[in-house]
Amino acid sequence: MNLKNVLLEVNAMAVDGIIDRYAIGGAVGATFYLEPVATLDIDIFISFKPRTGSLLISPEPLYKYLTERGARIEGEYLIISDWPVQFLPPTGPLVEEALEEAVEVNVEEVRTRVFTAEHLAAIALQTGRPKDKARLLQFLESGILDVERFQHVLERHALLKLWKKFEQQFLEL
Amino acid sequence: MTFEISQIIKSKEAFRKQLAARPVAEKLRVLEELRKRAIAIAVSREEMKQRTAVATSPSALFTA
Repeated sequence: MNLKNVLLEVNAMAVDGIIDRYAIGGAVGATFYLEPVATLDIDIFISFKPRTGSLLISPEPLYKYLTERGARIEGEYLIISDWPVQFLPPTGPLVEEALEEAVEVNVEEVRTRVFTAEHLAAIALQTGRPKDKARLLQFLESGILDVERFQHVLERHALLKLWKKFEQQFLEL
Repeated sequence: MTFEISQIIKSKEAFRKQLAARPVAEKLRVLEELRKRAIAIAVSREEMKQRTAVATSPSALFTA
């Protein structure tokens, strides 16, 4: 499985100290909880170890490390084992928390980290594109969400207004 | 087999649940297959678009 190779490469990067930690998000992350839905790329959220003497974080060491191991750069993506991988820094407190609270999962003996279902659903609500709304509906229909936990995530990140709007649009028929 | 829409929706839901409950590694393999198909569809759509563009361009009409 090519995806397994991607996970091995990302794990190697964490072991070698290039990144601090990581977690899978997006459609691939959602597949850990839901039925698979076609996607073209993998979103991997990462936190960097700050370089000594620098306040700026740079993806350069990551690019250098992976290209030296055979990955190639295509626009915003790094192509690893035929999969376009997008490495994303946390874009705000919600993603930071999602990264912090991500769960460990085994994929054929390879350990990896994935956002919780509640965080994936909250991020989908916050991002708000049509495909994110569809994913959020999938999470709700699957019954996999811990409703109390999801509610707390929404409260902590001021997403209740957005949730109300989503409820009115899709759940109040 | 039925054409009863409520029954069809129910069985679709059941199939989705069954897929969701499969082991993660198996679901990721399905994801890889879906990606290959999505790419193949995108490529053939692009080729079709180009063929249509050639066929309807004025120069193509004159050389036909």
